[in-house]
Amino acid sequence: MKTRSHPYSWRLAAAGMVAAAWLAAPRAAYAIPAFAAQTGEPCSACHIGFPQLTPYGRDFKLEGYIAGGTFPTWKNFAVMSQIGWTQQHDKVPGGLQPGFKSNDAWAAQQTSLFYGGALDSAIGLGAFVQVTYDGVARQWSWDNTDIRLARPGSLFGHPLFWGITLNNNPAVTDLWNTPPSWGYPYIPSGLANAPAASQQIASLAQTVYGAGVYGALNVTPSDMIYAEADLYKSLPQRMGYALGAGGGPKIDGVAPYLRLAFQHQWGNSSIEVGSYALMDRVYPTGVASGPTDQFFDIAADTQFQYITHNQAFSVQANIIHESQDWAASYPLGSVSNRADSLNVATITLSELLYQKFGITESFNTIYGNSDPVYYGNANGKPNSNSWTTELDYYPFNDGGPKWLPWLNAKFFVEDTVYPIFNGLAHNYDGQGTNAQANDTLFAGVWLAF
Amino acid sequence: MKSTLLIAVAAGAFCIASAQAANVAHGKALFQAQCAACHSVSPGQNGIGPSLAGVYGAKAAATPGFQFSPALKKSGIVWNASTLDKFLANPQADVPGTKMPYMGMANATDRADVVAYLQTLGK
Repeated sequence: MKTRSHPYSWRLAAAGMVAAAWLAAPRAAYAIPAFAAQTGEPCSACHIGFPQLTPYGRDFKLEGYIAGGTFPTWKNFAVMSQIGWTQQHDKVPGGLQPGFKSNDAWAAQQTSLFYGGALDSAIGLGAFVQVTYDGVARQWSWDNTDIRLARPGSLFGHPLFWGITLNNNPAVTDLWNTPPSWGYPYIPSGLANAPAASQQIASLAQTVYGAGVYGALNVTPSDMIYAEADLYKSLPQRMGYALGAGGGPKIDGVAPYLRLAFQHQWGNSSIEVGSYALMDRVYPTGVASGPTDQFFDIAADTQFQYITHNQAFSVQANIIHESQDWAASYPLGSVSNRADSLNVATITLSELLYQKFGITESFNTIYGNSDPVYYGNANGKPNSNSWTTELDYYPFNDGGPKWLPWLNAKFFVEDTVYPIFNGLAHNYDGQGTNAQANDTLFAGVWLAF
Repeated sequence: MKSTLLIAVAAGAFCIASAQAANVAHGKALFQAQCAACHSVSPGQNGIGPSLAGVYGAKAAATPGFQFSPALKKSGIVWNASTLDKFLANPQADVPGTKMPYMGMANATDRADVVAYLQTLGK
């Protein structure tokens, strides 16, 4: 049973925000990491804060990351680091994670090296490649990777951009911030407890490699239809471990992924509605042949943005339904039911003022049917609800300080509360632990240079 | 007879002028909808894209204070009706590596209207 800690230390969190004040005043827009260095544009041209994309940012990604570039230069390399302090409502005896304090713990939870930009702009070849050191697990791994060849064209007399992608994460290629690959929360705590239930489309990240084709058709100057189809395979076992992605789900054959979206733009606003789906057959853990379980994820998503010179407002809503057919696990006694379902829904509202001050509110709900053997908790249900409130300060969104002009940073304070966690509000593990025990205050800085 | 001819010529000139004015007005509306988010028409006001004040007749990538792509700098383009039409139809196809990630204006009449509007912008 976890012991209660003292209340959240807002003074410490606030001190983190104030620390930003000593940094030198920003100068005019300069070459900043990777894509910003290539285009000469400030981060704010492509991003609302980061990583949410503006219409300009979506076009840049759609057209193969090549705008403003020719061939690779040193400016296409960038580094990012996330350093944060985590406080849970209840401390965890033995450590929030192995090797860390039981509560109130600092971690440089992620440091990444990127290549971003043109490989050969004349043929439309560009890439986003990320390699990450996980400071909590203390290991290197490959991270989001999207290498694409994008070509302009036309279809039925309308402008078309189409391309081929090689990537390692379903929906990493997406233009909107709704699928799990690029959806909120953008920077969760690497030390805090999180709900146990997860869906395939999020679980496959970096454990697979795949290829796909995509196209974006301007049916009118204001209306775009986007379609994409990819096929994924599990990494071979040795390669998976070498890339730091070993031990993930093992897929039988290929897993298809489909995406369809419609975007309408008018004035300073844009709205997107769409759907995506993934199907895979997965071997039970520790098995590499024989019967498989089958999963089908289907989602609906929408995003609205209203962006003016002094502010940016956005709303994202996303729901994923997963059908789980336990054809292999049920005979093994690993689950209670022959079939289950698991749903995850998120709605997020964000406002960014003067490219400096941001606030985000997000609600996430996980719900599904009861499977006591599979979930192993008090009521056998996967249900969790959470509310997250985030405050951000971006001192360099329009340009870095004189001593490091390509620096960008996000100072953040993020508070997550769980009315329900792993099935129940109270005693969800049968040992007296309440959902509130996992409420988390997470504060720190996300640096990019 | 002479007065009839004069009236006919005047009426024809009025129609042509009206059509041109309509083209510029439509071009301005298209510019507001498609281009103004990134491009200003005020001299010296660069944003995500360069100011387009005085763009007609100017050499490409010459606007002071804006970092143009290497591709556009090397292009040697001088902006006139023909070169603007080709660029607006499909910027990435016309100048691969341009920083302007705009998918293109498919309708030739729309492009002509926008070009007509750009032609009115002073330096």
